[in-house]
Amino acid sequence: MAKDPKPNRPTHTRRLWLIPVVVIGLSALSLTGCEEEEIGAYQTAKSPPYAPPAPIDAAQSHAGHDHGQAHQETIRWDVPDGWQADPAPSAMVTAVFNISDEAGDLRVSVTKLAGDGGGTLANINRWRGQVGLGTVAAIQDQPITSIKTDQFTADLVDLVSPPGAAGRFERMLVVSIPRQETGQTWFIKMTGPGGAIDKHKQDFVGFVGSISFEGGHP
Amino acid sequence: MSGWIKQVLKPVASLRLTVALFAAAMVLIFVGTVAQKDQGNWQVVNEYFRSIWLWMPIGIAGVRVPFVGGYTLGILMLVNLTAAHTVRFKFSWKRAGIIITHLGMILLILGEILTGLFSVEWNMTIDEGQSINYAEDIRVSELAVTDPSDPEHDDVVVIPQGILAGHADGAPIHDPLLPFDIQVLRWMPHSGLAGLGMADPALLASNPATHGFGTIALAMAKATATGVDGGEVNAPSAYLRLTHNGQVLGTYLVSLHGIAFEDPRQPVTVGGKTYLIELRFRRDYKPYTMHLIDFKHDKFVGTEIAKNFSSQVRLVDPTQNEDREALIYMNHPLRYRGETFYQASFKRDESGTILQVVRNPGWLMPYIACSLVSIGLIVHFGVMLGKFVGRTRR
Repeated sequence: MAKDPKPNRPTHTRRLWLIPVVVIGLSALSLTGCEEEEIGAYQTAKSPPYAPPAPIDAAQSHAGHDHGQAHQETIRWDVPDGWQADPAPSAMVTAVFNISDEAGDLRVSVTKLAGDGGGTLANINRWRGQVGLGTVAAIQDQPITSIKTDQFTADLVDLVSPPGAAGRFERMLVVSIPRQETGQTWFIKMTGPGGAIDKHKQDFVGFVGSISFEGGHP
Repeated sequence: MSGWIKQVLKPVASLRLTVALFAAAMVLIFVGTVAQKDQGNWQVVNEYFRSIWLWMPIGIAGVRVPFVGGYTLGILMLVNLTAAHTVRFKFSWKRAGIIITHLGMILLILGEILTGLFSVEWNMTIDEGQSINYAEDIRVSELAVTDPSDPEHDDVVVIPQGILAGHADGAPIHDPLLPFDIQVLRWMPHSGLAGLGMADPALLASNPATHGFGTIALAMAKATATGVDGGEVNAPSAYLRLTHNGQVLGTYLVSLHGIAFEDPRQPVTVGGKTYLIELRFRRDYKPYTMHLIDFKHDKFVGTEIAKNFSSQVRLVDPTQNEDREALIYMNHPLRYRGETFYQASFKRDESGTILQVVRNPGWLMPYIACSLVSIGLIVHFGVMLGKFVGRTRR
């Protein structure tokens, strides 16, 4: 009897259904192994008593203090003549100074935030929005100058509201001082009419240059 | 071997299947690597490599196709290899090297499956002089509602991140364990925090917070951290409206950035009783405490280049009568109760250490597997060399 020139190859072709069966089986297995998230309750050792936010020191005379719980550090500065410290700034702000000028009143705030304060580019675009400028796609698109001291290098952004723009401020100077030592960033912001900021910009830069930090780890 | 078993195993042992599985593995690894551009490392690991199947992007916006996940590929490779040995390969000394090498590969795959299913990685962040009795999972958060009224202990109710995110549609979270109902007004998987003085007027106008941190800071959503963000960790925030018996207690901002405040917890008073709420990394409480005596960051003299990081810790476990000191430093972890404590990182101001706590029942398998593969290849090379020399002599 002549041999079939094309012998059947049933085992390879007919049993390919095994593969989807294995995949489906594994899927079913994985579903049974899934942990459903649920609300849970347990007891733990007593944690430290709740500490209500400590009142933030207003900038008294010529020095301000910041006592973060996570990282102890004291900030000090020299206040230029004519700057009036706000005795009761909001709890989120370390210090606020008001400057009266015939060209318009100015406000300087000193704020500390964790990390980079929400991202450099996001901050720049937020500040630009506050003076009525459009956003930039990259940090490099925003002119930034540096203020160097023995302890830190700060970035200074000078933003001017374009004519006719509906910005919250006419002009804004913002300085950011990243503190590697504490993992926080300080922001010093001057806002007000452009002409007044022109007159007081040197004082603002001098104020930033006078800042020093003490007592941070190690 | 009975005929029907062989008949079933034969197609599974196919060499074509082996090649197809390798090709699929290459596609999965390539797409999974590219995906880390837009997604976090662990998200990719879970979605692509520790999954049965997935919807895989194919480079056309929004178009995805179903594809086998890492577990399926691994198990199919395992089945394919063992079936091949059962059906096709016959033991002989000449093939001993190949068999040992394949045994090593089987162990390697089994080891990864074990690791994927059962290993856990947590962090312990301890300040110098501080004792900690929990580890944190920095990939996922939880809302903790603590009742501190008992003088002996705290009663804590935790709501996992998944439940908070799942109720972002505004449906209230009601549970008999909770002292109040929670309505998630806004859920941000990753966020930044800004003082109200720095925020946009438009954002300020839409600030829903009426109590707590939210009255002095504003949370803004950020794109979630990806695998190319240099280890950035997602920091979720949420605006929660708390109600009790239909009465609104207030709208609170809870945030992983709560650490920026003096105390990351916020008090909520219900019926004269004060609870503390906090959004934090998920915690796993331990029966032991770890106390950090000293953290050292040694540098090479005259440079800023790190030479060594080390943590001098004291481990106290009353359940095991354990009270001892240990030095943990790079490549010299502490092993205790099936967990391994590695020196992973430290706080930026060097005031504390960050230990990685790993429990991995399959930790030894890759070492054994790689040794077996090496031995197998050497044996096979030796056999082939002997064969070649014999042939040359003839």
